[in-house]
Amino acid sequence: MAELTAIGKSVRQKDGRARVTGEAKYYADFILPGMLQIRILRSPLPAATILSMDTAEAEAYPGVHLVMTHLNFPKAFRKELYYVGDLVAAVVADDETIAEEAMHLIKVEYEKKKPILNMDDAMKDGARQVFDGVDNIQDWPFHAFLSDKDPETGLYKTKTPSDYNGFGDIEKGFAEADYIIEQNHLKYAYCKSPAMEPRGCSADFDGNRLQVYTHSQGMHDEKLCLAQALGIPSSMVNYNAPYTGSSFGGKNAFPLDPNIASHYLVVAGFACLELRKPVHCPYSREEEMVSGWSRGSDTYVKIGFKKDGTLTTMDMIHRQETGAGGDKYPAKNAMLATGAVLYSHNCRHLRGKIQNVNTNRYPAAGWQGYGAPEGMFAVETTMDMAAYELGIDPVELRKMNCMRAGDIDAGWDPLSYISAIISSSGIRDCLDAGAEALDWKNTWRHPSEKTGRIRHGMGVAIFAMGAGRPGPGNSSEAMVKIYPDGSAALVCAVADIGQGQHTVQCQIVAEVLGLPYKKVGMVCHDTDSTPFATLVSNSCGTWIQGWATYEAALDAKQRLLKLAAAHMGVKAEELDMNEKGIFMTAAPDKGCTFAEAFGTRGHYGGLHEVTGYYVNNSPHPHGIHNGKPDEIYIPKEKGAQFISLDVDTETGMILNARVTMAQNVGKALNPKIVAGQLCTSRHGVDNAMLGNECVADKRNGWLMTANWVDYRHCTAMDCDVDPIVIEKPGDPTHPFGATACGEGAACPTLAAFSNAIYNAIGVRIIETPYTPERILRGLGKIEDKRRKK
Amino acid sequence: MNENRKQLIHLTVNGEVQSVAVESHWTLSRVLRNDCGHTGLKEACGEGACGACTVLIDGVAVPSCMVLAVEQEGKSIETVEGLSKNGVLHPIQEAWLEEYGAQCGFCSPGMIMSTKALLAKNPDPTEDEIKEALGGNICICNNYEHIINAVRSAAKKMREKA
Repeated sequence: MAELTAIGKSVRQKDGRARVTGEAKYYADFILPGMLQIRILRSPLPAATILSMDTAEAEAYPGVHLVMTHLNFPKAFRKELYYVGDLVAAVVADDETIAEEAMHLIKVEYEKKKPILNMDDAMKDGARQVFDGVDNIQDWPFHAFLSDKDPETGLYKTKTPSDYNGFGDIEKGFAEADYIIEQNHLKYAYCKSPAMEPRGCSADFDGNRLQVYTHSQGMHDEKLCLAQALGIPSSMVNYNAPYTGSSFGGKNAFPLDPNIASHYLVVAGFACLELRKPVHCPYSREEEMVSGWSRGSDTYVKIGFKKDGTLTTMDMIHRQETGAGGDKYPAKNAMLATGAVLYSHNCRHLRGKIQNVNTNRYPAAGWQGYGAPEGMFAVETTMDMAAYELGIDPVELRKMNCMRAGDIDAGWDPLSYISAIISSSGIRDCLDAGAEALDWKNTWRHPSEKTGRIRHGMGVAIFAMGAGRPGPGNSSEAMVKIYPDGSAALVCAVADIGQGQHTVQCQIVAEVLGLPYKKVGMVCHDTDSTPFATLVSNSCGTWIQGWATYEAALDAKQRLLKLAAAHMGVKAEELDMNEKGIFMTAAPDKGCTFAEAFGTRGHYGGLHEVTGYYVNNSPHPHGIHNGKPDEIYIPKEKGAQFISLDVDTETGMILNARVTMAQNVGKALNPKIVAGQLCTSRHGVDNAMLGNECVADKRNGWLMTANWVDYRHCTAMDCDVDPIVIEKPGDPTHPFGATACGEGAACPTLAAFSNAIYNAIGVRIIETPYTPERILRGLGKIEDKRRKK
Repeated sequence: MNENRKQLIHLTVNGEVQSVAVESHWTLSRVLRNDCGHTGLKEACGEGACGACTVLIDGVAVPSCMVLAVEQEGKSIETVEGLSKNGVLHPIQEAWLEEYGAQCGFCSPGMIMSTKALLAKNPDPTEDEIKEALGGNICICNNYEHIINAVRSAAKKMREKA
């Protein structure tokens, strides 16, 4: 490939200027004339039935336009309430003060039910069902057993429904193992899926079109879902989401599912259609805090090894909290940590059972890593135990067993494929780079050698995370337009939620067209003006949208070269283009200008744009091995993370935490964006040492930490991250050899932290967050006293 | 609308005097966004925990969700919208673009205003001083490495200019 001009450069953020001047319009910045304000009355009870409601006084309050309840809007509200903060009613009024005052005039009579406020209670025999008629514990519905391995490719031929995921014979595997390491009740606390901008929307209806202004991870998916929820044609809705104030999976909106926290869309949509006036439905931080939780797991892991450290067998039972319903799919990502993916290199026998558990806590949502961090936490702490037990360096044990390019992804997801070829790894390079940065070989000490009050520890964990899915529904489209003035525009709907997709996609266009990055514009404002793009999840933007953008730019280029060829009387194959125009590849001084190729004469005649277009139905043909459709490559996010910290053995405090995050991204399309993505490891730091967990008051189910003072996030002062970007070329699944980068950074942190704490003080803490209390209890300095009832 | 609950106040916002009728419980952030049209100012928590709504009141960085508008009579207020002049970006904004200081950008207006207050009193801050000055600003994208670089670069630009 010729020298790259736009790819691999840390060009400025495409919409950065608007973001730093305040000109960027996030949903709440669309202040429409005459806009009414919506406020939501939320359940004060964690489990209840509404017996009766009296809204007369609220409706009569001056300035109130509409009071919405399950009686007049049964599609937006329910009679049954499942958590504190569940929707009871909404008031639409002239301003927010009136709406709030009127909200308190609604009289509701509730029938209380006994709430279930943690997973242990939900799983007890005879526990009340959170949702009537649905068991509190549900098996993953797509468990499958893989068999008939093709000896040549290693791919499996048969996928049979089963009551667990796996392959081989784990009884045999453990019988033949020299060492068996086992841990139970590895608990990752239920944590808030965070976002800087609280969720909400505005809506406006002109009798013809419903304009919705909101944030988004996938405008087209969300629009279709909203139209269906409102019972109107999708063509009536224009979904505007030009800027999203971060979302790490939690703000994915699926308004059809009453358990997913996207009620603002349904409430505002119905109110707007009813009143035919613009409405605004913003969530406060407190409301945001009861919307969209994540993590929350209780896991059992058992791993069998040969004497030399070869990992042969793995067993896992992973139970994931889904709160009062919500997103159930993250649980399956725990499989990524097992012999299905991360330890696929040597693992021959695998059993992984995945379950969801409902409680009367806040509904579940996705979050960076989407279940993988919980799996990594369980497996990677167990791997660390194994390293100490076997007397093998924790880095070396991982290098010996981690996935490598060409290993087989054993169908961790209910996909169209049975198993797939892992297209690249580089985990061993990441382990080497991180170990070198920390001088691991010379500075690592066994915990038994540590003395004194302040003890230093180092821990490591590796990870693999999905990076886009092949199969139906995972498609994205792009249009690339070239104009007679030599500028270009990318028209697509890929969401930029802070991860830099708009910038990177424009870099791809600039590279293909040979134009300066500055001359490539981006059209990605709403659903009316853009073709379909799948929602950005599973860090798929670079892979799925990337191919669409690349191919659309190539298509546009070829169309322009054909025009130029006709104008110049040569063959299109003899031509290329750059900033100055179109030229003969063999004689670069011969060519024509853009305007000449287009045949434009002022505003008369000629063409005013050429448009390239592509639909990437993933996998792209390049993502297929040997051209055989049943042999697909699957990319992954992958790498290693090291934590260095001190533990104060008197106070139990963690001090001087430092994260070294190494990830192989194949090719860093924009190195500064990639480094920024690696620094999102701090989400794990929040969960590890800032006390992040769901504390619901046992008496009434109220969230005790419904704000950012009591539920802390890292500031610049809390911890440092050293990103190490590894670029190992050769991943066939991307035009520039890039693999995803985004969600991976959050995956290994809790395990690496726990391992570092063990390395410092010889105490293994398998319940997050790593509070001073837990550390002191582990050290035997305080006793586990429980108040007697 | 209950107009009788309102009181007229005068604010100088980014150099322009604005007269606004406000209710006694309205916060400065609410008034600047909804009544003065300064939506560049972002509100993320409404409780003083995150610094997204940071503005300068008579040169001091303050989370504008934590002060009442009625108490700001006659005060001079700077928001992020006042930084660029005639389309020319302020050196802090330039530095933010060069160093990739914004990911989702929702914390940027507040971070930038905290930076302006810091650099006004300390033109050459150490890394620890930067971290302390931005200690009240949360970036949920956790982009702090780039943000600290941006502050350093902005400080350098402004020293060179001075």
